Amino acid sequence: MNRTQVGTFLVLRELGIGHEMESFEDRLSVQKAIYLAQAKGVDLGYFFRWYLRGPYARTLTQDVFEALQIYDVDKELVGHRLDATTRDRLANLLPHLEPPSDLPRWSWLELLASLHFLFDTKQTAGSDVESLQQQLEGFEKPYTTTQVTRALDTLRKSGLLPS
Amino acid sequence: MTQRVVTDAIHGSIELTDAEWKVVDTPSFQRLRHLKQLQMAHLTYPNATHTRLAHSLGVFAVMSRILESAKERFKITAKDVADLRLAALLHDVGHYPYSHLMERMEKAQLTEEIVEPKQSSETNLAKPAKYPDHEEVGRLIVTERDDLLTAIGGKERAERITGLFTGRDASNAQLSKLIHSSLDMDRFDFLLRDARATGVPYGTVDLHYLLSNVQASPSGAIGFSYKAISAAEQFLFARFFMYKVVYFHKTTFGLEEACRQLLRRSKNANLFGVPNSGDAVRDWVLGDNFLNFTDAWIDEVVRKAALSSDPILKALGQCIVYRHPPRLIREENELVDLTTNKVSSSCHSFFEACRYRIPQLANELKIDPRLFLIVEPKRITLEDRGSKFTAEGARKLQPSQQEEIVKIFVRDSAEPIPLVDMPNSITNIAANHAYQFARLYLVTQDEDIAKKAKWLVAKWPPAQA
Repeated sequence: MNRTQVGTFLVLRELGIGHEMESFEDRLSVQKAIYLAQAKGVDLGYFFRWYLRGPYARTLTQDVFEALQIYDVDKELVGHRLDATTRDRLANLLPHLEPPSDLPRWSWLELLASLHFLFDTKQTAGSDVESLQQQLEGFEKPYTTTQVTRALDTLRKSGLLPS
Repeated sequence: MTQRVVTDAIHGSIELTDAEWKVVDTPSFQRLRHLKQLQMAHLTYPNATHTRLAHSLGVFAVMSRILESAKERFKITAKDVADLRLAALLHDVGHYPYSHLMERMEKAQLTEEIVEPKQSSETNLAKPAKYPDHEEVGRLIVTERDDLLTAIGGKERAERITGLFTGRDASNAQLSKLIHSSLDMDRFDFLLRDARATGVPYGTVDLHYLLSNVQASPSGAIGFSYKAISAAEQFLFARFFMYKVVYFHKTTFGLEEACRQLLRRSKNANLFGVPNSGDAVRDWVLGDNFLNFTDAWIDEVVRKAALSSDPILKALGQCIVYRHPPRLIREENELVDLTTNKVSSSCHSFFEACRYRIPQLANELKIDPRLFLIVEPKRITLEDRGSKFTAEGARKLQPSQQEEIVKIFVRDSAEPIPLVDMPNSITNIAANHAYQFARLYLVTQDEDIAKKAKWLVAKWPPAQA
């Protein structure tokens, strides 16, 4: 596996994200977790664009699928570890990836990543929660205003958005 | 509106408006004239010297044809048409010297990284060292360089256009689909152009027929009408064979791998001005020296390496400068069934054998092991995925993956279905397999050493799946 693939799998493992990629939810979780890790300053070099389900990097899916199909990933990772600064950043991020009780984890990650992407690329409808919630509905993401509020708070507390 | 006309070997006459011509005439766009579309393929196919500029005009031509016939069907306004045309024209403006070769240099594995016994190794992900993706570089160029900003008409429009070709504009996802969908204007042009330039017949595509049969569903999904199914099947096979015969040609690939390793080693050693971080690339792209961000810059790095006192850099540089390609010592290849979850394969076994046997092999030949270039298994598939997913599984694909798969409209369905899922399509079977290969090269001009290396490697136990 190349260094980018090694780094990607180590980050996923640190964030408790499985790398099975069997189901849609698995693949979505991988995409959004890596997006958030990069937003936190972990440089894996993936370029994300917007698709219906929020930020998506095609080369990330390719890298992960390719590695899973060719290698025994767990065996390849033996002997590799994340640097201390990256581990600290991910440790800081991890608690914020815990979903609230009314959302599965993959949906929570999708909400966090989508909101962050819209703010980061200056495409938000506005800073009020209702406008954001309607904007997300326009992307077929039916989150409630409570969930959007919670996500914004989380992004601010984690340092991914300014307070 | 006056028109400018460019005569193109693939698409014939390409008409541009005065405003579009202003974009073409900018130094930032003209830089593409100094980037070869096919990296180092010209060292194998002498006529493969066509440029990113020609390809960009070609994609523009394809986009223009689609918009002309489909703008009403897709309900696209005149403003959107103008933006999409420019997005097609500028989609590759951010390409690196020698394209993906430099851009993805970090993914190249140095020989010692593969063959050293497993030691504890630590990542270094905390610093922004990775080179930015060429689309991000393109976004920087279009939104920050004065010549393009002026030609395009200001920052707001520049942001809109980059949003289209990078796909980062959430509000224009529907329009972005035209660039990033299974229509893939990029592929339509480069297959035809690359086939013509190299002289191989495998890239022939019935472009006119396919473009005449583009449809959009009520949900905005794009596909081809059923009568174009054979042309769509042939398109997928054309892509497959161009990858197998041209893009992964053993000689070209060996030279490009030598160049990748040379660049990585130079970067690691801070030599020859190879940017040492993503920020250094961004500074270069936005600075006064941007017009030197061309293939000629890499040619110069290679020439300097060929004169280096470092024996490995010298060997890598000389094999390119003098066109003595790395010798293919062995290639393992196979067809892999993608419907099984089997990890082991003969290619994987061969790669593992290289990992553990190269130090001893180098010792026997009395050469530096870093002169071996080990290429980990690579795959060529017909489509992004095979067809043996269940219908449920196919529906669960991320929309982004579905969008990029070739789709066909069938009689009883308002929405198109993936071509590879059609039971009467040959791609239904072919897409479930991948052609996989792994290679071992040796950088040497010594015929005897090359022969001995081949003989010794041939005696390794057979690679087993």
